[in-house]
Order: sequence, then structure tokens, then C-alpha cells
Amino acid sequence: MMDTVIQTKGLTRRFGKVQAVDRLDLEVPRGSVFGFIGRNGAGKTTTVRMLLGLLPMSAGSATVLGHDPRKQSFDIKKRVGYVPETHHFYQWMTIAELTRFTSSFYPTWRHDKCAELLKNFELDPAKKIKELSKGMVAKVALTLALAHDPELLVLDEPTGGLDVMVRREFLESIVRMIQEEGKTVFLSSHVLVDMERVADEIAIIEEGRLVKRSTLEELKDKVKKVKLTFAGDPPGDVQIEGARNVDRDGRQWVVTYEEFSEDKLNALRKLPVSDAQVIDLDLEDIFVVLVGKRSEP
Amino acid sequence: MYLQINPSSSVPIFIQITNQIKYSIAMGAYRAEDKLPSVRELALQLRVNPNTVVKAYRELERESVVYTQRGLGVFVSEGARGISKKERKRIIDQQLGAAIEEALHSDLSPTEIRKIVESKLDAKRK
Repeated sequence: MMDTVIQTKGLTRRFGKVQAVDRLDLEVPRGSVFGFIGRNGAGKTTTVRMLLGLLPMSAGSATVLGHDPRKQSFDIKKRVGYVPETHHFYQWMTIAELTRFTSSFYPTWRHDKCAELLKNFELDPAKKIKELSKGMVAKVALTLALAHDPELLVLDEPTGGLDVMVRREFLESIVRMIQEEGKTVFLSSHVLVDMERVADEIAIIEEGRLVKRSTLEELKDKVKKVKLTFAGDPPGDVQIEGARNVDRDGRQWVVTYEEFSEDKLNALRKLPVSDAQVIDLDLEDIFVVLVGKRSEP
Repeated sequence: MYLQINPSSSVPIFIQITNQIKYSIAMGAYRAEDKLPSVRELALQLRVNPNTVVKAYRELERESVVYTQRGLGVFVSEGARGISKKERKRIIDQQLGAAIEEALHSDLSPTEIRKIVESKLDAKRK
């Protein structure tokens, strides 16, 4: 049996007439790094907030670590480490005061782990929050999210606008966390280079809807472009089977597939072409393909 | 162990890891009975998912390049160098094959291609 940490069925949130999240079905397996990707305003943060019980759902249902966010938000918060996109700490507190204050909400808080994290992140406990740089504040947030030894770490655009060094430290923390038995990371982000290193599962959301759910490896295997060069003038009306997009630029065409296969390549080679070159895509290219418009039926 | 990962490459990360380890072995940087870094160490160093490193080691084990000693770690096998060298040859064969294919597509004649290869080899010999 596959152990599921987060499950949603038809999860929906409306703001007035806007469907911010639209009938979302998600399953996050335990032990995975689950990459939740989408553009700004696609519904990522709204989804995360519903999962943690911070925002009521309009319809559908969800379970997080076996709890219902509508009724058991408190149980969820105890067992989840959450790093939101923006941080609302008391500016006048020192880091030491803030960690002590936060620890009182968590029965599983580990002071030793907290001290170790602060040391690794080179954070001085005597410093006041208002004296910290943006990157340091993010590291404080990550410390608070990890110090109570959560089963699930939820990161919502954790490294937006942060420098390379801080992003590195976040990545290392994710890698450390996932090495512990049974721990799961739900990473919502549009920084796709980082995602490409650590994610094993990918879900893409656009306008509140799930547009793709797959392993990262499978995505890279299936979503491809083929560059065709025609020997003479290309045929006027040719149907390309299974293509998502065809860019026609004179004698050079680029065919984009969501489900590429050798059979499809062989079919292209039967056209009067002098060259058919398969182009591999990185996650960023794949994302653009999947959320972009289709040109073929 | 020094490995360089390109996460944007279409070559899966676990294959990048296995190829580079085999390369290190073929070049003699790692010899029979040498211990490889633990999954934990390598995952942290490369900042990749530990499952990816596990997969890479499993693949190397399947190819008899390494063996696992329970509780002790992952070690380079006897004969790994031979396997790795053969593998290097196979990869280079493939790359040269692809280059030749492309040259032919670009309407170069076999004589012209031979000339390029010869001049490259001559330049190295000097």
C-alpha cells in the first residue's frame, strides 16, 4: 500500500466569481520531495493555506497526515513545518526570544536541534528580527519550521528573491530532511532549477487546475521537441499526429510533443525532410510547453 | 569524490552520477576496494534527492562496478576498471558516431570527415 501524506479530492476555493483553486486532486506519497509548480497567481499559496487549515475550502475535501484541515487544523500545525512566502515576525524580538516564544506552541520542540540549526545557518540568537537581512529572516523561518521535528515540511516559495547562498542552504536542509525515514517535503516554487535537483514528483497547476502530475524523470522523457528541416518547400496541409504545437518557419518546423515516442519520430522522418533532430528540454522548457497554448488539435 | 551535476540536462541525474563515477574509476582515481561516499554524503554534496543517489548506486551494483557491504558502505569491485573502460569506449563510440552522422547530414564527404579527424589527432600528437 502506498502511504499518502497529503490527499485532496475536488479541492476548490472561490474568491467571489474567481476559481482560485478548481477541483484539485492531489496525492503526495510519504518520503517524496513533491514539487508543486505554477505561475504567480496559479493557486499554489491558496492550496497550501487550505491544506493547513488557514483558509476555508469552498468545496471538496483534503486530508493532511490523516487529519481534516477543516476540523483538525491544530493537529496538522503541530506535525507540519511550514515556511510561508512572507514572514510576519515581531520585529522587536530577538531570535532567541522568537524561538522560545514559538517553542511553546509545539510539544515536540527540540531545543538542541534549534540551537544546531541556528549555528549552521550562522544566525546570532541575540540579534533582533528588525536587524536581519531578507535571507537571514528566511533562515529563521526555516529554523522555526524544522526545530519541532515535523513529519512534513511545507515550503511556499521559500527562496523567492533570495541569493544563491541562501537557496543552497535551503536545498541542503531539504536533502537532510528527506534522508530521515518517512519524512516528506512539499515544495511550492517557481524556481525550477532548484526543483530539478531535488524533486521526485511534480505537479503543475495553472489557473487553479492541475495540468500535469508525473515524476520528474517521466516528464523529461516524454515532453520533447523535434526540429525538422525540409529538403524542399514543406507540404501545405500536413497533419502531425499527436503533436501539441507546430511552429512553422519556412523550411524549418519545430514540433512539440507532450507524449513523445520513437514511433512519432519515425512518422516525422517519413515526411520529405532532410533532418529531424530531437531536442531535450529542461524543466523550465517543459513547464512553458505544458502551461502554454496548444496550436494543434 | 568530485562530481559535477547539471540538473537542467535531459540526462537523468542518476545516470550523470553513474557515468562520472565510472569515469573516475576508468581514470584510476578510484581503485578496487576503495570506499565510495555514503548516500547521505553524496546527496548533500550534490544537493540532490538521496533517492537519486540510491538509484545510481543500485545501477552501479547491477553492472558489477561496485558492491555493497551491509553496514559498511559501497565499495569499488575487482574488475570495475575493466568494465568502466569498456563503458568509456562505448560512450566515445556513440559520441563519435553522432558527430559523424551530423557531418554526413551537413553534406561533408567521408574524405573531408577523415581529414578533420586526422588533423585533430595530429594536433594532439604534437
